Amino acid sequence: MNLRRVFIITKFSFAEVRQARVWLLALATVLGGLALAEFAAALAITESNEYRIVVYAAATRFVGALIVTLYVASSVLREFDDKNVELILSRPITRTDWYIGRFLGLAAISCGIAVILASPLAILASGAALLWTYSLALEMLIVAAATMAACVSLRQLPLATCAVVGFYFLARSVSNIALMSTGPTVDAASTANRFIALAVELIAYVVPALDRFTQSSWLLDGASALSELGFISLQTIIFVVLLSGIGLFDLHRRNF
Amino acid sequence: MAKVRHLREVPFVIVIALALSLGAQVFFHATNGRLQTHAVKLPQAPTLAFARTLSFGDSVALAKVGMLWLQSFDNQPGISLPFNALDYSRLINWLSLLLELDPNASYSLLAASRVYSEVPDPTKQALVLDFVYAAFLEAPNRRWQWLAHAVYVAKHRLDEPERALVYARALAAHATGANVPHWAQQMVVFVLEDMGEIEAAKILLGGLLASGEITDPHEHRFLSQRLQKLEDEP
Repeated sequence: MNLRRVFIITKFSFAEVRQARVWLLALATVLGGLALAEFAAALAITESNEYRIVVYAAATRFVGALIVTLYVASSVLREFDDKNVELILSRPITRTDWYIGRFLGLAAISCGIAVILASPLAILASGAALLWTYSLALEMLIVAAATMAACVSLRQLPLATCAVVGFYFLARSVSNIALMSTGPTVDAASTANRFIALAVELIAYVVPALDRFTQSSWLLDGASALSELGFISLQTIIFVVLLSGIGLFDLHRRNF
Repeated sequence: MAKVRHLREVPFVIVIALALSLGAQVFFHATNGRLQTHAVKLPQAPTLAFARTLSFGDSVALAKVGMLWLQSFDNQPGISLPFNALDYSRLINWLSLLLELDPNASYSLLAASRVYSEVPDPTKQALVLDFVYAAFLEAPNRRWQWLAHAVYVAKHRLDEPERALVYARALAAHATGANVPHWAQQMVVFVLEDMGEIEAAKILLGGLLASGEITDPHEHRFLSQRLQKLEDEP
């Protein structure tokens, strides 16, 4: 891997994002989120500021993941469809250089989107917003890595985006699904229930624990976020490497 | 030309990185556990207007999902909370909200009368029973069975016969639809009898038998024997 070539590819991503005007979309999300949060605060009988913070945080987190998914998917697949990848790979640039360079660029853009989306929380929730923003950026990194791997492996926009959206919701809810599959309301004697519980537990082993990332409650109680800092950082590193490994594996097997 | 190249085209370092990261993920999950073990308090219920907005026009679907969420709230990741640990005033607000979102459903009333009323705290039990009573008054012929159970809970679990009598009288007065069985309307008689109000019970039972509403011969004979027993008491 040649770092100079990697960074050249990364620069292409930055040039592309200026044209795509994805920042405007992020700013529009901020405005829409603030309007929704104000509406929620106005309707709440009590704890209106908590409603304002939580509604803004929850809404922008999901919209942020959606923006990153759609942007990364359209950007990477367009490059494949326009044969730009073939053109680049015809130069002295390896597939690994292209993949890592492209991912670094898209990862930086995803983190930028996270910072824009979280910026109003610096005023609404003061100091606690910093940890929340860091966690959102890590979450967006995983989403970007998953989208890039899905695009390289599945090669179709609807397939790739649906797969990433499904992965995202599964990762955020698999802990609770696992708990419910063995809860007191489930008949443990049933073979079907035991099979489902085992399948859910196995899935949980290979899906990141996104339910422990970017929790709205951190904005109300900043102290609890600190204990999760190491966990979410290490989880992000492991899963981004895993997803990049999947993407690189499929890219190297692809015959242009 | 084949769509995919041979496996040997994949650099060895990528295969190793993939295998190591997969192993690290499995190890990370196994050692860190997925389940958080700190209990979360039941949040405040939003207003009905806000909940309707969040439902995007499908308030019934939101009510169904919300009820499942509320039902599983005592089983948080890695921890099982006793019902006694729940904030019952917030719980009642949630149950009321979910019932308003889906007035035809009986899930929240079932949960209130059969599940949340089992808590060993008279104040919390009374809160839940009053919620069932208020909901019953809104649709007596559809929700009578939950108040009938509330009569039982008030009389035998809460040991508050006066409260049971209020509920039983409400059943007799408001649950008058053809679908409501006679035993539900007759509960007031048995509550009065248990309270030692024999005269009042006799009047009610006699009136019921004389009204001709009891058409089942077995039920008529049972109630007649019951009236006779009351009249034989000194």
